[in-house]
Amino acid sequence: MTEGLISTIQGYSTKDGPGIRSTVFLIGCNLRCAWCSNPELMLEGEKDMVFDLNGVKHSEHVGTRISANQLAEQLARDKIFYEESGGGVTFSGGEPALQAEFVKETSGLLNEMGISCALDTAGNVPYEVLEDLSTEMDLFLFDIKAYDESIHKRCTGVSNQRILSNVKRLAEQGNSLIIRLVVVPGYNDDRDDLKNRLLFVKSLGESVKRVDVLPYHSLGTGKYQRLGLHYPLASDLKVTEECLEDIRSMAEDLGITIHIESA
Amino acid sequence: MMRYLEFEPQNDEIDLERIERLHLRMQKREASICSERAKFYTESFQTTEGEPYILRKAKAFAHTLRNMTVYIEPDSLIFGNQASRNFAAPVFPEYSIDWVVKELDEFEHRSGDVFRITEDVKEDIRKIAPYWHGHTHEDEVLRNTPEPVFLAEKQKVIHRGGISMSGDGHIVPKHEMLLERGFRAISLEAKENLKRNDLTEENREFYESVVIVLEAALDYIKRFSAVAYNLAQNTADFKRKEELLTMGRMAEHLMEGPAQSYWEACETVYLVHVLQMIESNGHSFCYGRYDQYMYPYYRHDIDTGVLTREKALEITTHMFLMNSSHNKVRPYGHTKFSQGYPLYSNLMIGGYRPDGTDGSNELSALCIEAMNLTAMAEPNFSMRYNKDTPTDLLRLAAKLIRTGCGMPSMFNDDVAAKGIEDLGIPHEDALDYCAIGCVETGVGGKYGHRATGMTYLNWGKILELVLDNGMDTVSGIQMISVNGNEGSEVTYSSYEELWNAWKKLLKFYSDLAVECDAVCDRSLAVYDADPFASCLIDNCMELGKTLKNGGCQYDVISQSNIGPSVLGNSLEAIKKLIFEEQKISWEELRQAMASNWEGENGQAIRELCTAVPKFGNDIDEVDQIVKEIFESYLELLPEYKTERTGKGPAVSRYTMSTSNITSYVPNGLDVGATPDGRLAGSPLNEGCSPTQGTDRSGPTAVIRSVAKLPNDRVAAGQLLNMRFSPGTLAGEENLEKFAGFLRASQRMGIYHNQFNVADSRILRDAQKHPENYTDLIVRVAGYCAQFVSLMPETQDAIIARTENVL
Repeated sequence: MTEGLISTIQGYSTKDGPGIRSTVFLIGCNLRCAWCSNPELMLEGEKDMVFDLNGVKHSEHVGTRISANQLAEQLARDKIFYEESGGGVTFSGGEPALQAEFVKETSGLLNEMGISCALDTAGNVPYEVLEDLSTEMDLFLFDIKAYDESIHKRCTGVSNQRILSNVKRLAEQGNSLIIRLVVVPGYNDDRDDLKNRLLFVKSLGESVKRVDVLPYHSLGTGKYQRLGLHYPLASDLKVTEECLEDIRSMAEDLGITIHIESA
Repeated sequence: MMRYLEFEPQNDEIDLERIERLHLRMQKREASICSERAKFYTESFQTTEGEPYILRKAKAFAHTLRNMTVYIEPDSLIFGNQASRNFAAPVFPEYSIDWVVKELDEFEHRSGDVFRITEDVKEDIRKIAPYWHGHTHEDEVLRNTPEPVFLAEKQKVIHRGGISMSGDGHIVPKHEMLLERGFRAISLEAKENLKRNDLTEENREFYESVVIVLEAALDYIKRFSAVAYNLAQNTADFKRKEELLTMGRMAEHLMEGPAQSYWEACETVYLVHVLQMIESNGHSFCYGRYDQYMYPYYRHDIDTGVLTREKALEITTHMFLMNSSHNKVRPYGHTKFSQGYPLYSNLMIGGYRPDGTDGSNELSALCIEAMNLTAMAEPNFSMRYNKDTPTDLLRLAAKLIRTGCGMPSMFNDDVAAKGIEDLGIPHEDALDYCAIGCVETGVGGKYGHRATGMTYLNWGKILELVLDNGMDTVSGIQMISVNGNEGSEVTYSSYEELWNAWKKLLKFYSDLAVECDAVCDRSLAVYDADPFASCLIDNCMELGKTLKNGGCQYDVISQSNIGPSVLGNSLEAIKKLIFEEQKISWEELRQAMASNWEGENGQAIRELCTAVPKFGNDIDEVDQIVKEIFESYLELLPEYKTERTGKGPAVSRYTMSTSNITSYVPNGLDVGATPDGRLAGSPLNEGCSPTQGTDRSGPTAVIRSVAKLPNDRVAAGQLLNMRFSPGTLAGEENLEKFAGFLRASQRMGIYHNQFNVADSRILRDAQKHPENYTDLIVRVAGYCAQFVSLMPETQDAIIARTENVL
């Protein structure tokens, strides 16, 4: 039985796909996004987050090793909620595809129970990994963080060549996709690049079921402190209404319907 | 501007501006005290000395109905008033008077549920008070209450609740019968019965009283005719003039025979409600399954073209709004248990018909729209649902919940009906259940008074006594000892010993509470004799006796138990930390609790206690304990008999309920720190909900935990209150998800679920600027209230409920 490393399971998750979902957060990521709001999931391994509450030191352990069986059993507890709302389970992180074997086994078990699964990925893995997982996934939530390679490198530390090619191939194979476009002021909000991202999304065709625009939020700030890390971004960053409006009109011109998440 | 949820008017037969005016008047109304009823009852009682009490009450009721102020609220299509002014509370001196006199000068200065009172009214009350002093229901209860009950009250384990000094309420008339027959026919039936020669004295007095109250009720209705005509004469507005003339004609014949139209039927059920609340100061006089018994009138009028859907919505909304014009004043001590001027006038829609098919209809949806326009705390709006409930209706209900008004509260047909059926009530009747209070359920037209809340038992306090060998260290009273020794010293060497101590004390105090119930019940049989309410419920007319004397078909009562989750979490903490893991000693835990977790040591121990699994997170080990706690009480019930056993009802039983209104707040004040890490004096948990802030695994986990409880045996109502942030329900997609959540909860076997949808920021701001938030209605417990009318402690408890931001 394969074991995986997860942090938490979010029940009644409403932002990670259709219906009522449970989102499992897996630990470990091969991107280093400057704005990451889940640094505890980005860094490898188990860890402790230390913080002060009214002058008393508290410590919160992050990371649980769990078998695919146990995890599937845990997630299946909400089966009736998934059924009644058209929901299911979303594997997120971190980068869940880095624990592909574990995710595949868990989602396989869930599928056997009639529970639909989705993978929330940044896609920076060999295509074969995603292809292998796709047999168990009804949906991919796929992040495209920048179109221009140098912007992508600057923001995430890695090239996006493989990422873009992966999402293209997933689309060609007819996998259902929700594309997520995170927008961070001063990092990846260059107007031309935004437009190129949208154009690229359009080129993916029918497989794209939905496009979500996620304006940057600073909810992760506290976690950096707790991990003893320096928060890399200015704390008052905020996507302007004008910028969102601009994205909206560019999308409209291209005939793409977008959903803008409220922060 | 008022908005419909989905309704699209096709004509201008509904006047939204007028509804808005009515709404605003209700929202800004001021609670006050009215002395009219007290004066007329006194006048009448002074002339009936020596007569049987039920006749004295009937005559006083009649005297009041013929002389009290009657008025028609401006703009309203519905008439009928309980007191001389909008939102004035009458005084009921035959139930209790001493506290009224004592609090006369304090009504205006309460921290919540304030009442205005004029010097004239104070004078009226002071004048009549000596006549009643020593001769009220309360005095009778006090005379007969055994010493141990008083001791348990001093220990703060038992709280006698409203019924020790007010009427009982909690009934639903047989609306379909009274709409079909009218008061006149029932009065004639009583007269016919009086000709029989096999009557007992009780029967004769009952039938005579029925005639007196129904004739008076008919006269009362006719008085509105003159008022309406008078107003019509002085009204320039053509439309209003016509309406008033119609109302005048309606009042001339209403209830002389069957109801003739939807409007008349609506007016009738409203008047019955008002009349019940003039007869008795019980609360939870409920409307029952409004969309079921009203549907034939609605359908007929729509099909024959005398009514449009728009007009029906207007009439219904006016009726709903008029429910905010009634009031009840309670002693301040009781007010803490039930804040926000609640009347708990439940009105229910949806659910199975007696034949098991889903009975929801066009009127069900119209009621949801009406409640949306009403946007007040009354009527207490509830909905039954099941697997066959139409998706559209459920979505509409979800939309109303999303507005944040806390309504409808949702009852699961399968679980609630099974609970009732398992009491020995026939399947068809069980399927016809409705709410008869906040979350209490019963069979409309067949249940006698009171599904729940006879006596309140503070389980948090019992837990404290278990840890202190039965000694209440605050009052110094010890009524029972766990180990046979006097004093608070006790050691438990195993969880089993601790559990047995709980069972021992639970039985001791539950037995006492049943005695306490019986004392109140016996007194109520006299002082709350209610021929008007009784003659509208099976089988009082047949048996010739009031509900309290055994006239009802089903006699199911229950107490209210407060704090099962706090108790379960505490037992789990002790079990784990002391017995299983031996991380702390008894002495350490007790010291930490005694200091209310002060100091470094106290805080460290509290952290250990807080980290132990808590109910509401789908963790079997602690959920199982909470389940066993429920079962430990359920086991006791077959032993308990009601006062009416063998005196008429087909079923006489005790059952269980966790409907505890706001009592979880004041009950918490009486309980020190508990082993679950709870701070001294903070609220206990509400109903069967997880303790505030301890459900950290999301709403689906709460449902999974609660689903493990024996919900279908808590046949008088199992209260679950949850809170969602407005954002979680925003937009169509989230609404669909929420509807899915409701359907799933139903399938999982929840009894009931109700929701608050307001974020903490808004609630805190409302505490600071109450004047800006008179329209903010929140779920308090099994009912809703204007947030700003609540006491600060209760407002805090509502804010502390875990907010599901998803």
